Amino acid sequence: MAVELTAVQKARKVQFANRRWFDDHLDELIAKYPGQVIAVHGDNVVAISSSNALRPEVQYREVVEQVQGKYDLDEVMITMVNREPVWNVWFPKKAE
Amino acid sequence: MPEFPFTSMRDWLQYLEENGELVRVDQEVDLRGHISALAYTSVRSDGPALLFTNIKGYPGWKVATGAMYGRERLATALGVNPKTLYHEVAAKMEQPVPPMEVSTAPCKEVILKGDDADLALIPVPFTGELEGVPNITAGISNIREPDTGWQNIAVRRFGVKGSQSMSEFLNRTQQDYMIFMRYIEKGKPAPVAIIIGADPVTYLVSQTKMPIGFCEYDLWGAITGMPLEVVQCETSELLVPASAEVIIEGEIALDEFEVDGPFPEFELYYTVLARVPKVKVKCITMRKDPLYYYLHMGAPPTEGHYIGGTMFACAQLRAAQRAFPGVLDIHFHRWAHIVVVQVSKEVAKAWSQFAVQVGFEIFKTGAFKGVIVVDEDCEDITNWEFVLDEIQCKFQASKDLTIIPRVVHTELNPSEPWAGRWGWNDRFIIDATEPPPGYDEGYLRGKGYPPKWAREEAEKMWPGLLQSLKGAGR
Repeated sequence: MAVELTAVQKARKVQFANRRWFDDHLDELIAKYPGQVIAVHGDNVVAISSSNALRPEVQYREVVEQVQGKYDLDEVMITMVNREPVWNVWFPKKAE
Repeated sequence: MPEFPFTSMRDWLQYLEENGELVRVDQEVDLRGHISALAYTSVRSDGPALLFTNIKGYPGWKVATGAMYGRERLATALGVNPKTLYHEVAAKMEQPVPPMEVSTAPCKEVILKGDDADLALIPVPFTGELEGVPNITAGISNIREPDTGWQNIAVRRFGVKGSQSMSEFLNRTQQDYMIFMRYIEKGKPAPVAIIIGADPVTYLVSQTKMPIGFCEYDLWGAITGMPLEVVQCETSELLVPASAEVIIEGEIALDEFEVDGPFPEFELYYTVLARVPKVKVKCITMRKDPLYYYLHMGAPPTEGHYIGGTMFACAQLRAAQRAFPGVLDIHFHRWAHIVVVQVSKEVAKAWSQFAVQVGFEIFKTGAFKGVIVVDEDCEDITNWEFVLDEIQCKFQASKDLTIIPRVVHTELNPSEPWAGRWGWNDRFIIDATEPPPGYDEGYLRGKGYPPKWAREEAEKMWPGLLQSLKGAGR
């Protein structure tokens, strides 16, 4: 049974794709933008805050100003990049 | 009008609405911030529960929040008196009632499997502006021990990462993580079911720290005096409450991860990005006119802090009273992770280091910053002013402060670096009970309050006096 999605639901699926790209490029993004707020859309970083020294909410506003009017905000993922390597939750090796 | 026991979230919401404790929000709201901000605004003012009926992009859905905020509201949901909530619930815990399995259930009116089980169909609100993707905050995770069948339930956070993919923040100090380890040993993925929009008692019992092997569904029966109706999942043997609004079924992958965060967690700050277990979604079941429940998290106080703190306190009171005589009352200061315990002055004096022993017992039931032990001289342990009075008058740091260094704790507390490490906390115990004979002369002189009878009369006179102030144009 195919379910008809609304525009907002379709945008959420675009966000899933944005997030997948972000996760796949995380190490590279941490090296380039540690502690900065970025916007991701369509396999690209489309906006970056000016400095990681600014408070996160100020960085967020800078990024929103850069993307507003250019992109549908529902389809842009805005988030903060780690300052440090991604923490890997420890798992024991699974049984053979 | 529905009454206790409230066997579904919609019955509970109807009760709140009919009692003037719920506001319907019929204006269109955006999942990117309106719901989170209104939930925050309401709890900051001890406000009503909210029921959103017009969700942008999600026709037919409703979203509720705030229905379990506040001691009075929780006491009503638990069928107890607000003043004796912890004591009554602790007593009820002694008589568990197992759940009853049924074959049909409202939570299965719609069944979506395979690609149709798409998380984009569920209106999950964002909590913070830097979240990236939204998180399910009121998802009760169900997992079953593979050998014994023991089912454990607990509220966990799930990042919505794809149409059939979620991150699960499994806390490494908790029982469900221990069960997941058993699946890893066996080389099998762990079936999991996430309940959204359960009745209020299911949410509350899921927050209770119970012994290994004890299913929280039995505690639901203990509190309500009747068995919880449960139904088997479509894709596993897991049992879920029949009256729930939405069930997400899946399995926790063995060797795949999702990146969790950043999320504004209960410890106040955003979390770091972390690779955590991945849940692969296989099926979504729900009601025809579904309701999504949103638990606001982040900067305290929040509904999440309230339900967690309340049930922690019930379990702690039960544990401490079983272990020691003379434990009178307890209060979990819900976001400071500080527990105040009130003990009998006479018993405290009769034991060696009684406050320290009680403090250690409290630490066994959960991860906290500290325990403050006071005696019955403290008029109200829920009021910081009275607690601080006791510290001021009875506590000497050189002999009454105990520090326990480096105790395991959630990774989320930002007071220690956390990336890639186990979380830990130092803990403290403050003994603010009256010192034993030899030091007690000062306390025998009594406290410098106005007479109690006069204070009670003053409380009655006060509203009228304030009214006359308003009449004078102030």
